[in-house]
Amino acid sequence: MTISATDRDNRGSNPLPSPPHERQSGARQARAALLVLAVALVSASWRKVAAAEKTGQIFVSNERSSEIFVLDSTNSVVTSFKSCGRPRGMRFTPDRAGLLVACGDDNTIALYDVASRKLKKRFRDVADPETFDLHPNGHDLYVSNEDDAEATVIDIETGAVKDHFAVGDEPEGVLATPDGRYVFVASEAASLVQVIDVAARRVVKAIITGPRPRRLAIVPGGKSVWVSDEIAGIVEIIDIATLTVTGQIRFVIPGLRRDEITPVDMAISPDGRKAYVALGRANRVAVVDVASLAVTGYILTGRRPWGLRLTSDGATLYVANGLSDDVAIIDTGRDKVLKAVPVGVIPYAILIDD
Amino acid sequence: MIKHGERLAAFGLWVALFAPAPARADSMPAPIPTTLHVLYLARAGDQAYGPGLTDSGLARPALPEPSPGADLAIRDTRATALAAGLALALDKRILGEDEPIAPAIPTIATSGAVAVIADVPMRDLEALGKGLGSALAIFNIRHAEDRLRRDLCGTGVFHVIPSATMQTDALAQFVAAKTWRRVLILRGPLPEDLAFAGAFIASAHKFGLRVIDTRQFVYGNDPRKREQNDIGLMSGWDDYDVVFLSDTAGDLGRYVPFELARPRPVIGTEGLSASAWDPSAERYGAPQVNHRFARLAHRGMTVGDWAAWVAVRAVVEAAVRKGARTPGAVEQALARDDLPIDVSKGTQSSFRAWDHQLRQAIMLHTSDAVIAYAPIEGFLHQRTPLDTLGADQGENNCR
Repeated sequence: MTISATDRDNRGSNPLPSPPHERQSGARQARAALLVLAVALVSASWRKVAAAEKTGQIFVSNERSSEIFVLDSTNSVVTSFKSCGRPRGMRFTPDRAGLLVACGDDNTIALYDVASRKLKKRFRDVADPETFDLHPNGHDLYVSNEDDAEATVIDIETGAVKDHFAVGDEPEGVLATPDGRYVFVASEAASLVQVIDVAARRVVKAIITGPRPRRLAIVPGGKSVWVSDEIAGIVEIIDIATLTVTGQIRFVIPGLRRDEITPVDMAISPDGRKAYVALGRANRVAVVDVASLAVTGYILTGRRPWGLRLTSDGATLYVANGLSDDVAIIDTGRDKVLKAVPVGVIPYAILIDD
Repeated sequence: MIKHGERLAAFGLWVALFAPAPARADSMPAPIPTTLHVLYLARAGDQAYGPGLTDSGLARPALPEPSPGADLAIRDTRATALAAGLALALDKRILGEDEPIAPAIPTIATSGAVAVIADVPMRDLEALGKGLGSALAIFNIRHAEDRLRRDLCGTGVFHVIPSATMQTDALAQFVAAKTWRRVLILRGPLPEDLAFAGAFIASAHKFGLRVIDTRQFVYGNDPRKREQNDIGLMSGWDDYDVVFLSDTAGDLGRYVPFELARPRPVIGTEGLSASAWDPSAERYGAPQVNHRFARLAHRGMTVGDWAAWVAVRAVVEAAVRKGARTPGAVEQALARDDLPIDVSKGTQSSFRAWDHQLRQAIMLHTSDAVIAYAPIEGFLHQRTPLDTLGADQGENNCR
């Protein structure tokens, strides 16, 4: 194991590195071995916990201060805790007892207990994870490795790295379709959305998008996937049946130029009628009518809104404002901001246990 | 327990080694891609990358040659190119130290390359531009002189690196936004120092700053020239808000911030500087680019590295977005104002139609941090705020 640790530490700083392919495979072996070991040593007890009571907690990852803030259903900060380094993407385990957090600086996916907020386990040596999605099978985690231009599949029950997929550079958004057939990966620097056929275990389609595709969202019913192109300032609609781009959404805000509109995260209402798109530099969230793809309004939320999350009933939208270090809370009935709650430094993602 | 762990580790290794090979994007059944060749042209013994001493005897570290930037871009764009049925190849050609460029020009034109990255001295770049005309896109990744943007107008030369005026405009916007309106200019004796100071004077005029005086320093200890070699004396007899220093050779700039008679910030070639790129950039995906570059080249990414990286990306964008496959088509796609190029600086860049200068954000940085990105908020333009930096349409003699 010491060999593997040395191998990792030397990446990028070793004056005489082995050729890239050797280094990479070495790191991969080390990763797989470490993960197996880590999981075997820590019992998989969290799996046996029956589906936990929903706690109503709202989790906010803060990438610069490496903290997770917790809000309660009255939208007040209850507590915060120090997390692994640079926490970004978050997901619940299928039983909702565990909170999985991707920590880019630690090359870790950490698992916290939702009720006690204590660290339960770390999946180590996951190269610079940014976001991830859990396959509907409940155990395969598809992780984008931003630095390695890869998507990695980790079985969270055994800890084994099951697959690697070469994708475009700086992969970010990952989305598994509810039927489990496909996993979509958006690569920011490559202007690509790649589609992994889960059964065939290969990339079956590479879709060229506008510059800097960031996040993915699926319309309830599973007919189309939306991708936000941050630098192009648009959202593109990918038809799942044909895996082609069939439409796009443009945003026009009086007084703002096109390059001030930088869409990132998206949230689509559970009934599939209304969508929200965080517009980054425009300091606004757009409201979109899903059927017509028409923008029906813009809500001023704070500086650089990035991460979005709707409550399961769709009544409340939480917005992480990356540059004003707060979370805006929106009543979706009136599409008005109710209040903004200060959190840690550079809030990234929001997750709600409801 | 330990044994158990070892066995499991061994199992992990086995899984990694013998599990079915991972599926790869490039194993997709696809037609054989068309290869686009990009020529990287350099010159042996190029003085730009040699070590040297300044006139004052200070050691100037050698600048690394920037071709790894192009190598990185080839790697970075592979997946996108493949999705469009393309492959990119970088052909490197090194001219001999004394080899004349003229005989090489026809061979470059017919080499099959769709574009040339010109990492060559200025005379070579001018010869290339005039010799090749607009038959082929030639990327200037090195020379900031505004004069080149005018003289090579109508050729296929595309300037990835910002002009000197774009850099001084960025600095002028920064100090104007701070309302540091009174500027003292200190400049060295070289023609380059004069030119850079001149660019700043024009920028100061453009953004409403007042240059209270321009003073030339010389290097030395001669007490009879103390009004020219003693920075304390030169900066003591009137007041100003900020000093613009133009010491392009780095003769004594590093001492100036603490030799001033007044506690005033220094901008220009020392203190706060304007560059196309900086390895300490922390926003807009720049850390990822810097990190990938450091992994490849084992050093920080310089402005030249970044420019070579952008040049390859520009060719890929022309090929992917406009279907350009020939030298002429690539040149025309780049010359259109609407080809978006993502340069990891937050806004999309494109080449200005009137002088082929890449419009781009400029980093204002110290030795170890990017302090601000220009255009500074509040400076507006009818097209894009990026066009508040550098020569606007109609401001040079092109077209």
